[in-house]
Amino acid sequence: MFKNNVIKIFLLISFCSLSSYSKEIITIGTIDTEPKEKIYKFQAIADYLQEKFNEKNIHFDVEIPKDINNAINLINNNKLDIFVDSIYSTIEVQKKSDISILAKRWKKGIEDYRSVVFVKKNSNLNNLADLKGKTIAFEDEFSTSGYFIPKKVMELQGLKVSQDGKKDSINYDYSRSEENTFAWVIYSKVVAGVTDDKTFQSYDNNMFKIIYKSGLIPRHLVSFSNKINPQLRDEILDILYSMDTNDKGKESLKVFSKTKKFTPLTSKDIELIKGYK
Amino acid sequence: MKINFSIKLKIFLNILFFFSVMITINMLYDISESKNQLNKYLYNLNHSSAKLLKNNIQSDMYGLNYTNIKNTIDTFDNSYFKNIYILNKDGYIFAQRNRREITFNKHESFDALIKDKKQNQFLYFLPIDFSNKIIGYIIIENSHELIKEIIHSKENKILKIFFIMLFVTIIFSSILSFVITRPIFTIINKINSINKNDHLAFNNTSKDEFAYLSKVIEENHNKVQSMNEQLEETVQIEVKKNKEKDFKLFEQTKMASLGEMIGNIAHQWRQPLSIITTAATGMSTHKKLGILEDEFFNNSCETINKNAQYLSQTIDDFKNFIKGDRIKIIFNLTNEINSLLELLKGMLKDNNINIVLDIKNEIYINGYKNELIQALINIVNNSKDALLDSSIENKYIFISTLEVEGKVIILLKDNGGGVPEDIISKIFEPYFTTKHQSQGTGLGLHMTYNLIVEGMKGTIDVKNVKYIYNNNEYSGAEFSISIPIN
Repeated sequence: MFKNNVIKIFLLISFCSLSSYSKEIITIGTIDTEPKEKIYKFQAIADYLQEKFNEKNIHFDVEIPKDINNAINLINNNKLDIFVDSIYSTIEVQKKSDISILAKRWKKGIEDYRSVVFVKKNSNLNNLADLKGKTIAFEDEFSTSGYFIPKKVMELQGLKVSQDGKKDSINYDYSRSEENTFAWVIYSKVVAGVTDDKTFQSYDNNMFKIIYKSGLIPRHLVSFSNKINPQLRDEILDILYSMDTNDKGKESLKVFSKTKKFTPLTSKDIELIKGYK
Repeated sequence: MKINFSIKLKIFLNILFFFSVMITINMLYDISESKNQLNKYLYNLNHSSAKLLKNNIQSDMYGLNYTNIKNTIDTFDNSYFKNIYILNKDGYIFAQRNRREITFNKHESFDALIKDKKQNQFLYFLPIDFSNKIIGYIIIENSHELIKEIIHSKENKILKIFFIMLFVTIIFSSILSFVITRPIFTIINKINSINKNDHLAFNNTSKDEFAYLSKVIEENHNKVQSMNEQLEETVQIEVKKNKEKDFKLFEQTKMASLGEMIGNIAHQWRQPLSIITTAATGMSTHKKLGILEDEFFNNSCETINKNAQYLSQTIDDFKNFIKGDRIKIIFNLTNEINSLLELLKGMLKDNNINIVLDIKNEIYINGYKNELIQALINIVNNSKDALLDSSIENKYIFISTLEVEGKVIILLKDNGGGVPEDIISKIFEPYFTTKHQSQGTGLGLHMTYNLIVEGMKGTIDVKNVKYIYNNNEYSGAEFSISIPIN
């Protein structure tokens, strides 16, 4: 009799657990080659979520993949559940993994931005087509505003973008930093540079002119692995959306690269993301 | 102006001067050396830093990797570096340590640096080459403020040490001068403290130079003391002899003056005696002839009496003169000069000498009357002799007195032609005379000098003068006597 009762109780607990959430550890992360700083920042969000889910026996952890492939592997192996990154990385990861882009992160207080292509003020180049046969500076291959968006736009406009130095295509080189991009344009190593509008405004605008400006691009996106229990996912999203409404949440957002808040994607955002896929 | 310092002070000042010069030179050398060392240090720091920086950024400069270059120059954080500039080959600032933003400005002194190629004190300049091509330049700008502060701080330290050393030098100089001069002062004090007749003995047992000096002084002192004793004895004898001689001389002079005075008195007596004789003879004749009338008798008696009184007065005057009492009394100078002239008037008249007086009344002197009169008589006699020797027709002696600042000046001037210039400076010396042996002793003016200078603490001078009197030009000797009124 006693033995039967114990089995019944065990089965009940197991059922309850399984019926609420299929997973006990939720991992949050972003791509970075130097994870130390990112771990600290993401840990603030993980800790905040942990506090909210303490009673539900769910643990939150941080995982920082080194590159896109690493991120894809982690997601595919259920080791990364919430992926927070730029549009480019998110789209690239989404191509090879089962994630849903669901929210926007206002990183450094910025909801969205534009990608700009700029040249020297006295340059006679006035549009992207004028860049044919010239060399321009992209920031690096993982940069949304400094590579992905403008390259995509150029390709959408039918322009060839390559590194082989052909006269009929726009040649490019990676400057590896926004400062280098500006320096290369100033010192004429390249004819044009690519960056985001906020960065552009922080430099001396009298020295440059913009020849292309993209539409608004969400600053950072929050994607969820589709393997997460939808109920749990929605609960997490609700908590993230409400973080900016309480002091503790605001404190965690501040540590999280001065994030202002999390907001749901708008239909415009969804359209734009589709356009770049 | 020559200042006499004590030997102690001289030693002190010499040592002080020597060491002060030494420590000043040392201080200046230290300051100069510390500046040189700092410059050398700065040069080495700049040179090695620029070289290291060049190696680190060479490839980044070639690839215009601003971020890497900026990060690299930011690591060259040294307080001596005010700024580090990385210029492109045309001198435009590609990156600089203290500014985040990218500018496109030319370095303000780039052209001058290129032209000059010399590194100035605060700017170090090094080209960045890549594959034998200059692709840019490194400029390290040193912090003027820090360098000045370091130099200033170093100078302050050196100055502090200088003043401490100066203070030590003063103390050291004082001690050394004291130590060196102490034996000298011991000798001086010993010499000062002994009585005139004491035997000098230092009892210095050491074997240094001062012991030798003490011994030499001791021997010499005792030798000199012995000689002094002998000399003193000799001097006493000689002084006694001189005093006796002087007394004799004084007596001789006085007798000579006396002779002259007797001559004067005799001359003065001649007329009253003649009157007395005439009156007495007249009365006797009238008596013999029986015609002696009372009126004639009374008149004759009165004449005799009057002249006898005059003779008596002359005797009093004479007595007063020769009595020679040396008593300090207050007397009226004018009265005494008049009395003197009264005594001398016979002599003056006989020799046709006119006295011209310009005497201020009411000059009272608190002094030795007889000695002054004696001095004046000697001068008048001297003038008389000069006038008699000269062929001048109108003979004058001018006597004038005046009172100046508590002194009375008596000027006696004649027109006897003056004293020859070659002997004028010697006329107050004893036994000096130009007169014939029978006329002068050569002591008159010497005695006069002694009476005025030593007896009355006055002065006497003589000079030859030329002057005009009654539209005639004369020359003669002028004696100027100055004596204090009190």
